[in-house]
Amino acid sequence: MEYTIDHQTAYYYPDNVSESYTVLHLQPRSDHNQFCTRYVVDVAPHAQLHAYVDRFGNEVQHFAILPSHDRLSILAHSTVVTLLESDPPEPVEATRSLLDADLQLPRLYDFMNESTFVRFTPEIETFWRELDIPPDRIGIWCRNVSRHIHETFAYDTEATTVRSTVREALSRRAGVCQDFAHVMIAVLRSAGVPARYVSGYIFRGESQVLGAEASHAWCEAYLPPHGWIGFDPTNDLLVNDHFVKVAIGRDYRDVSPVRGVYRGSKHAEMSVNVAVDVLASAQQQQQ
Amino acid sequence: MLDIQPATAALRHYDELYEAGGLPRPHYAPLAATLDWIGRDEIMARVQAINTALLLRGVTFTVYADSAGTERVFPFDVIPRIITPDEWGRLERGIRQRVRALNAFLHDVYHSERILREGHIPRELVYSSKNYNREMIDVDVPRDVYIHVSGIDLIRDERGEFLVLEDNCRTPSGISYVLENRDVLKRGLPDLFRDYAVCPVDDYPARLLDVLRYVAPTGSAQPNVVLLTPGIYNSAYFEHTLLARRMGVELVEPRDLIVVENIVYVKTTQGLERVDVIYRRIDDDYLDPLYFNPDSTLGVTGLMNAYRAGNVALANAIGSGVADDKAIYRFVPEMIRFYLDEEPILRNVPTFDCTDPAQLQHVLANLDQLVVKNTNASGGYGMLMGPYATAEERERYAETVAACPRDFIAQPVVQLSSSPTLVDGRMVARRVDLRPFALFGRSIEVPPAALTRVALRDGSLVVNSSQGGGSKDTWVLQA
Repeated sequence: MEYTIDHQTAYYYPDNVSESYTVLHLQPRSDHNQFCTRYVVDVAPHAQLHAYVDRFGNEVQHFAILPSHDRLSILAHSTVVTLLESDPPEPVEATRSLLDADLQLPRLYDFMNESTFVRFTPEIETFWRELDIPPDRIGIWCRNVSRHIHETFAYDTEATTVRSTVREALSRRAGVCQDFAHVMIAVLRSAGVPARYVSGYIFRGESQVLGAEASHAWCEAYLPPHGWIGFDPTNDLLVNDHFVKVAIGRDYRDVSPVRGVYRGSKHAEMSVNVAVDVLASAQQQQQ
Repeated sequence: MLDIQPATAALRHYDELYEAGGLPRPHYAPLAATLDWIGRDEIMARVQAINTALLLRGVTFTVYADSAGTERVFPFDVIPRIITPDEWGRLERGIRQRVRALNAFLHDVYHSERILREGHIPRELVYSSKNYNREMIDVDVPRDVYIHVSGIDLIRDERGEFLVLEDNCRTPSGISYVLENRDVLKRGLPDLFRDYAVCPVDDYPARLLDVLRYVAPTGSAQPNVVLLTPGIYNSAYFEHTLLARRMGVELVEPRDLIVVENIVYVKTTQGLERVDVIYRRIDDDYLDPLYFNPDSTLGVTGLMNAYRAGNVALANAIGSGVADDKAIYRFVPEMIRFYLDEEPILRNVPTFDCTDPAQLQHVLANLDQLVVKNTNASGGYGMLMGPYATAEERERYAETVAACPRDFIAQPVVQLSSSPTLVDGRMVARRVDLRPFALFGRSIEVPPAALTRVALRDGSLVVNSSQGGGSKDTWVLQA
């Protein structure tokens, strides 16, 4: 599938701010499952963009606006071709023994331990008891974890904030994609399965998927022999060609789409608009 | 005058002044004679004058977590500690070797991880270090120098051999005491120097400035160096002002700097002036709220971006603290063999690894004979001196260690050497350590400007200023 994505983030600061420094994780990744063919960012007020590749291989841009300003708008426009199947095979071959023998394992420390938003709290252990003990077939088990979160959590945009931890989402049994991803990552990591956070987009299409109106987030588990497999606990889906991957990290903190520091009052209004559309020409090719 | 009281356990440790037979070592004999000649009353009068001078100069330090006024004068003992050229030569070689290996280790853990891949140091130990800074992965630092300034803490064991107690690779302090101690002693008791050719210490600031200029990003013919301090409430603020003044560089606080399009500037009355090198005396965590502690109101926003882009040099490099993590300390001899293919010149103190269950058990069962240290603390904070602690203190400490073994190491109690010290008008033997500083620029140098810290309490083995320690002028004799 080929998509165009418009991701607009706008801030309004009633009291004016200055020296605002912003870091962006908005550029879709190019890897063996997708290819980003176009990426443009417009920032208003005008700012010079600088770029680097972070340690996860994410393409990062950053900029600074020093003079006083009362609004900031960031429009990221990208075109991405996704290569995954629409109905990917279940990771049935993944086993605990293959994982334990995997030579990559020692390097995956960051994806097997706690991070800012992913804590192995007592609540995680309680949540654990509702699930089967991970059998040797851990790929299937990961699917069960995803389904269990999907079934027992309410999708509720009021329940949590972007700074919520796994503990809060678990106690309310509610949250948004970011919380579901964090909970699943916490369960997987505490079971010894390497797991990482993915931010990106999901194409709504005909179906009623959740999380399409803004950035989406899901979880990837390292499951040899399949490698990294994406699970979306928000929709109980295996990641397919409707998903566009932007950035990977330990948790939200590593990959938040727009992060910044400025001088001025904390009071700010923020709005985010995401539109994911199938490119017309690609649609025709499919027919 | 030299009727020195033997320290409590005189035979179980090395004495800097007396040989085993009770005679003064040759290099101390002229000093002893001079002290006798000056006489007790005169010396006490001079001590008074010296202390007043130190107070007026503001040679103070801050004790954190002390409710009774935090600013204190750093006690100075006028009896110098003397190091022979032979001893110093060996220390110099050993420290150069050690710092070279530590620097290679830092470059390695943030790049190819060779020492981890080949299994010489457990990956987990590095990744779990609080000072392993993930923002530094794959970042190249100017001239590949990470540890521009280090302080290597040494103690003498029972046989007089110098051992490395710990490495300080972040922002080691203490050099201001070295400079001030020499200054006031030379003015207050010039006679002491009469029979000695003592290596000067006052070129340290110039040598430090050379190092800082050397690491300026390529292209700056006249590099602009600044010293970045957290401000007047920092315990080492006195040192920051002194070094900035003696190097002739600007002393700045975070709010004086600004990053514009990935370049660091200092705000001056004439506008913005580009900064090439920052000798920073602020911890990593507080350097840039955009990348590190987001709640920090200190810091220079965007500094990490400028650093990553290669537009500014920081001394020491961000992330260098992983090299002085006390849990990694025991691997330094291994680093020396691995990176340099040499045998370590200076030995370590034997260290128990609490992450190893068998060793942890041994540590917990023998707390009354061990020193236990927090792997990320410094300045003597958070340590347990087993033999001197109460049973209750040990019990409480054992719980903390068992709950988080990665955060602790344990070492046998090493009887530090003792050195003659003036306490309440009497000469007594008190325990000392030694902190030489290494400067890493074009090459690694160890200026003969070392800090001797002395435990002023009888029998105490803790020399940290925060724990009731003082300092001495340290004489490295010319060859």
